[in-house]
Amino acid sequence: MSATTFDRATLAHVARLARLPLSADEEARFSREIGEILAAFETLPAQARASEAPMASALRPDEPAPSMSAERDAIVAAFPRRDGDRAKVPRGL
Amino acid sequence: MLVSARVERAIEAAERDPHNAYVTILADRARERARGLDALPENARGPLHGAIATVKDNLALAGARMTCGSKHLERYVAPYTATAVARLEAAGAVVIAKTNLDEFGCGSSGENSAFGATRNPRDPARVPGGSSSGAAASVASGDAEIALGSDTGGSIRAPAAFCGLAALKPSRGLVSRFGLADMAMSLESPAPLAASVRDVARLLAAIAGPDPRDAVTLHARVDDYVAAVDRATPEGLRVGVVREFMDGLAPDVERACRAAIGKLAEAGARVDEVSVPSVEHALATYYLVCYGEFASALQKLDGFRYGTPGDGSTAEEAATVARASFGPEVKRRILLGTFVTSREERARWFDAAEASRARLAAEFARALDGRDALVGATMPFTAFRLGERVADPLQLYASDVLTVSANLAGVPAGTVPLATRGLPIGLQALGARGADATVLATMRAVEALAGVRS
Repeated sequence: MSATTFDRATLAHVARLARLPLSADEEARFSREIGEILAAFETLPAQARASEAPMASALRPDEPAPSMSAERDAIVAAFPRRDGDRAKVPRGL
Repeated sequence: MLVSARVERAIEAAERDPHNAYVTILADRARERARGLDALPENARGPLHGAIATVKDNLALAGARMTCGSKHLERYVAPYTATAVARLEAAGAVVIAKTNLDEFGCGSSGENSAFGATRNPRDPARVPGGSSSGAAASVASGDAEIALGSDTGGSIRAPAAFCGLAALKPSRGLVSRFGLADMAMSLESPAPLAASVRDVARLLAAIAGPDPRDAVTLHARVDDYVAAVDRATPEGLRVGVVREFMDGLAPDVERACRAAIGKLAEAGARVDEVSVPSVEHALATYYLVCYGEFASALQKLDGFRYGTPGDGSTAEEAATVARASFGPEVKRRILLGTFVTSREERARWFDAAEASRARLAAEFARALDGRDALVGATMPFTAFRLGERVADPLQLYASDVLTVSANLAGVPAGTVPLATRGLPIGLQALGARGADATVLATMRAVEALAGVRS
C-alpha cells in the first residue's frame, strides 16, 4: 500500500491489533496524521534486512543469585486486581 | 551547612513548583535521608554527599509513585529501585522529587505529560524541551544541583540545550537500564544533567558501570570522568565539525556554534569539517525504530499487571478499555509501531530503518576515525513558545533532527551551554562508543572557552 492511503479500514485494523479504542475524532485525526508521517518517512532507501548490524553476545556468569524474590510482594501488591497473591484477569476467550 | 538544612530549602522550593517540574515530591523520604547523611562520619561520605537531586518519573524508586507522565500509571507504586537511582543514592545524593516528562518519553517539548506541560525557567512562556522536561526545569530553577533523566533521541540534550544546562547521553551499555521504563530499549539510556560539565561527570561516575541486571552493560568501559574533565584542554584535540549538524540552523544558533568552534581552533584544537551523509535519513530511521520498539514495550500495559485496570468480559476487551487512558502522542506511536512491524509492512519500514541505522553507525565510526570528537549544534533552534508546535506531530519531530543520530549509532553525545545574550543555545559533542570521557573533556574545553560557566 502507498503511505498516503492510510485509510480508515487500515487504521481500524491496526487499532484492533494494538488494543487501542479510538473515538470518531481520533479516527479522523490519526488516519490523516499517520498518512502524512508515513509519507514523510517513505524516503528511506529500500533494502532487505539489516546485515551490517554489529552483533555481540554478552553473558554474565551463570551463578545462582537472589533474583526478584525480595521485591516479589511489592510486585504482587501493584497488581490492579488481585485474588490473594494472583493477578485477576477476565477469561481469555 | 548541614544536608538537612539544604534539603529543607530545596523541598520548599520544589513545593512551590512554578514550572510544573515535579510529579511527586518525596519530602519525608528526603528529610529522613538527609538526617542519615548528616549522621555519617566524614570518612564515610560518598562522592555526591548531600547533593540535591531529582529523578525523572520513568525511573523506579521503591515505594514511590512512578507515573511515566501517564494517567494510566497515576497510582502505580514502584516495587523496586532502578540501578542508576540506587547508585545515585549510594553516592550520597538526596532525591527530593520525581520529575515531569512527556508521557513515556513521547515528546521533545515537555508538553505531552498527563500532568500538564512543564515551563522553561529561563522564559516561562516557552517549552523547556523534552522528554526530560522536569529534570531540566529542576536544575535551571536552582531547586536541584543534579538531575537523573533519560535520553532516547535527545530527551536529555534537548531540555539541557533549551534551558542552558549541560547533559550527556552515555554510550549504549554504559549505564544500566534496569528499572527504567524505557520508550525504545535499543536507543535509551539513563542520562545525567547538571549546570556544569564537571557535575555531569560526577553524576555519570556514580551511575556508570556493569550491572548483572542489564546484560548490555556487562562489558562497559568505565573511565575516571571527573579527572578527564579536570585535565581537559583544547590543545591537540582533534575535532570534526559535522556538516549536516550545521545545516538549516536558526541564525542565532549557527552564529553561537560557529563562534564556539572558532574559539576551540584558536586555542589549539585541530578542527576540520566532516560529512556524515546518512544524517539526512536519521529522523525517519529513528522514528521508525522507535515506533516499533515502543509499541512492543507498551504491550505489557494491559491493565492486569500495572496501573489502570480495565473492565470487560474478556481479557482482550479489558485491555482495550485500560489502554484508553493513553494520551494522543502515545496512541499515535503505538499505532505506527504496530503498523510498521506488521508482517505485511515490516520489510518496507522497520527493516529498512534497521538497515539505515547500521549504515549511519558505520558512517559515524568512519567520521570518528582519527578524531577525538565530532561537534555541531544540539538543537536547530532555541526554545519555542508553549503550544507553537503541538498541532503538527511532524513539526515537533523536526526538533530531534540533530540528536537522534547518537542514539541510533550507540555513541556518547553531550551538550554544553554557550554564553549567549538571548535564549540558551547548546553545542553538541559526540565521540566513539565507550569514549564518554573524551566527550566530556571536549565539552569542558568548550565550556571553558565559550560556555555559560567558563
